[in-house]
Amino acid sequence: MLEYILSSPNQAIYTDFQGSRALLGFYNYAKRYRNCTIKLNFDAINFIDANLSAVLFAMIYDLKKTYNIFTFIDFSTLSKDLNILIRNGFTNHVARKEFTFSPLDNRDTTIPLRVISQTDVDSFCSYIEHDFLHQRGLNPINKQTKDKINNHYLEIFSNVELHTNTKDPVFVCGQYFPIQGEVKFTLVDLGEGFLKKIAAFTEGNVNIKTASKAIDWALSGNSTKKGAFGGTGLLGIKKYCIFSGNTIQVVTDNCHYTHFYRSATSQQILNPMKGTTIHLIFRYLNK
Amino acid sequence: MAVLKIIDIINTPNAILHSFGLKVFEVASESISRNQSIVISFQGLKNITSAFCNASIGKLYLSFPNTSELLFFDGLEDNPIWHEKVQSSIELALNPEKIEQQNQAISDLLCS
Repeated sequence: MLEYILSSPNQAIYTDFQGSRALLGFYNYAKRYRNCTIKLNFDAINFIDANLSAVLFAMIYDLKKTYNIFTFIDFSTLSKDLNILIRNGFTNHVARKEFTFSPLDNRDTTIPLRVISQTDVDSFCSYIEHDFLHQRGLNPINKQTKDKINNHYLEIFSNVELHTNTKDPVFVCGQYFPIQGEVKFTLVDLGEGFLKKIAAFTEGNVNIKTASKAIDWALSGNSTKKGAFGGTGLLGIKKYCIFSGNTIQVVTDNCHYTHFYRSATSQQILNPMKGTTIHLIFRYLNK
Repeated sequence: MAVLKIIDIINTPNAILHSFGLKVFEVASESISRNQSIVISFQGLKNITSAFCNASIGKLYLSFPNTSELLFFDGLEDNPIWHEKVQSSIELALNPEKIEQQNQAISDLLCS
């Protein structure tokens, strides 16, 4: 059996550019093959942000669908901090036993991985309301802030329908970090990304040609819908990040874009995966 | 005056998707296009998004010049976030270039 050893600096995979590169290492290795099983080895990793389960499982889903590649994970290697991948249901999804899964939340920090159809709004809303915001771990957050967070998640979900042009589901997962006072949330789609539609829409006008500019354009409240404007919620999220010290990251086409406080940075990804990943990092202590 | 309950049109309390907004637009435009006043009711909803508001209310304002005289709302009184989303969709429909310029200016100012 083929084997890929997941690796990253400091043996940890966080929600950042380096983390994206670490996970893409597996995807780009695997997609060179067809009709086989690849063992994903976690021995060189001690920690992973559990919300990244959404990214990793989206990769595994796409590898199976596009290249008929199965992924095998030896659960016994997921020890210590990595057992979050068992507790949040990631391993059940990989083993295709997700329907018998209920999260083992003995630390009150676990938010399950879910795969949700783009049109199944009720499941998504229920996930955000019950699996996410009603957990005991988020008690320090007041209702007003929770309502804002809920609102931002729904805006992101509604955005998927507008830009992806695919019937594939979305992959969502989160994680609380009580000591740091952070909630991380990740949503992944396997659609066309931002650039294609935005480049076509702005041709002859502002002529957007790069993924970084396309993300900037979308986060400034613009929309590619004619005759009925699309969602403008990404601008609201950007403003919320600016004023509240939160972070939004958008990974699409060949760009990893980060907006934190008043600064935006973009880094180039050499071998990107299709689709778009949006990470939101809320910092709720002292607010 | 006819009352259109959004929840009855989209069959869910979650008015999230752009496509749901287009359904509401289709139903409401039958009245507006005949110069008949209507009330769009948000009663019973749990969530709304800007994509939904732009595709429903914003599109009515874009499509029919007399919408402001014929369209009324119910169920927004106690929800400032929803009220703001509805107002934003109306402003965006009536003054898209102005709103774009404002957004860009805010964006430039905050990120400079």
